[in-house]
Amino acid sequence: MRWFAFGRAVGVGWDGDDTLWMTISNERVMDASVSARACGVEPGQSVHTAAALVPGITVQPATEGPSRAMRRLWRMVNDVTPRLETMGEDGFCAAGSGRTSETALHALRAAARRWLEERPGVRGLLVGVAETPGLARALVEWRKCGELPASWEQSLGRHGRWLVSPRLKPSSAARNRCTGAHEAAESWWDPLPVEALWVLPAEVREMLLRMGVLTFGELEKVGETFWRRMLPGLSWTQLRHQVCVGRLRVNYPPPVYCRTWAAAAGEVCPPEQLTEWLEPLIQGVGRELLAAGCGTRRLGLCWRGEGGRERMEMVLKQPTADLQVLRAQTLRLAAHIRQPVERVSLFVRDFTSLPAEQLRLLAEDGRVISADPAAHALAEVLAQVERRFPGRLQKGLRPGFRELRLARVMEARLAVGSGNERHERMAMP
Amino acid sequence: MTRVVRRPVTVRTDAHGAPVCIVDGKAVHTVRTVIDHWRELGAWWEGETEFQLWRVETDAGVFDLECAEGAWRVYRVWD
Repeated sequence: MRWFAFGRAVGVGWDGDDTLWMTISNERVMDASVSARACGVEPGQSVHTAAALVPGITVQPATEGPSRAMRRLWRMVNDVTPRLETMGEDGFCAAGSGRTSETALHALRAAARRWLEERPGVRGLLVGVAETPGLARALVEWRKCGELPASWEQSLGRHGRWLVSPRLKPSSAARNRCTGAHEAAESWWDPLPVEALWVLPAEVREMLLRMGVLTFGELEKVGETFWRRMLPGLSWTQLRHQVCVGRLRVNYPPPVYCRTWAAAAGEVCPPEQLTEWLEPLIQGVGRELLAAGCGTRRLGLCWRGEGGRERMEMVLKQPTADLQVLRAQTLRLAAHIRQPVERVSLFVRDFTSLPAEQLRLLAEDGRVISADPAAHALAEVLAQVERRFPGRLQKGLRPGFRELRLARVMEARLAVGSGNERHERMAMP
Repeated sequence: MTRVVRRPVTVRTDAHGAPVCIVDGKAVHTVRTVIDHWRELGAWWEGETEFQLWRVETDAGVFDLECAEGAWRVYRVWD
């Protein structure tokens, strides 16, 4: 199953301890805590109106950059899936695929709930989960301006909502199907209100509402002339693609994973003994890469010794998270360390997402394991039997229908072939 | 944003081997600061040998200079 999750948080503009607060810029409310919003404070309101609604509310100037709360949420999402795009200062888009994606989705939901419970009454979160990034966002935008069918919506604590597209529900027969233009007639997103179309400017949305076009499905009726007149750079096909498909541009996690070893104060490690201290660094970096689902293309060692600080890097032929490759290349770099060192850091960067198949072949300790959990369990049982009764276990495969049929056909052909041969021999003078 | 250039240049160095001045055709750029310096093994599977990289700030911008066996090249230009 492949899923995309789009999250939009509120109440993350300030990291203070108060429950009732708002951040302001140019005399307008920029963000407010969930408790303040419950009292009627909304972004875009004038400061005086908001202050009249909630006397004694804490007023803070809006700051640039994401808050600590938001950075923490990104970290928590990144622990679940490496395919994460941070969107603005209050949003994210994440993706999961492969066999473990359902587990990841559960973990993401648990992380979102945990994050909300850290500051009850302050933070709020809407997470939409759908088959494409655009549709995941459509769910969130839809929920912001109206109600979704009750079966799509689940609670995420008091101030959070988990919105799941009907195609991703376990009972859905249409699950895992590709999203394509030919499916427009049965699209669940056709009733998406025009007010929720984030790709359109406000005046275009108003114009459409005046024309009686209320939902996304009805936009099909609007001719290309309208789009050319209202939005010169956007055709209906492009608009449809932005909403129904969208795009995920991974810009998280941080660009470097690094592990450091330092000798006790006043001591140094001779180069020949460095290997044993490098091993835990290699293991640590390897674990981080596997957790992130990334392969590294560049590996480096940075050390400080009597000659000062030095750094050496190397590019890898292929992106890898394999411990054996990491170990071999780290030792190749370490061979260039000729003086005793006080401190050594191993770092990797330039990441590429590894395919799910490749990741499944890499266990935590670098062993190759079976891609299929059932096959892995079976292999363990077989290994136990083999240990107990060495050489007695006969392993083989039972032929299926196709193999049996093929075997019969081959046998029949051989029989016919040998018959013909006999006949030809007999016919010869 | 960066651009990989890999263009040969002449570089004057100080006593420690650090670049002081880049001569690129008729243009001469004085190195204001050495931002970073490291060694790389390069594409070892293609037989590339070890080389040194210097990230320097000049009056014309930030450059990565590559020095392999005494030959200098502008490896990368930072926009």
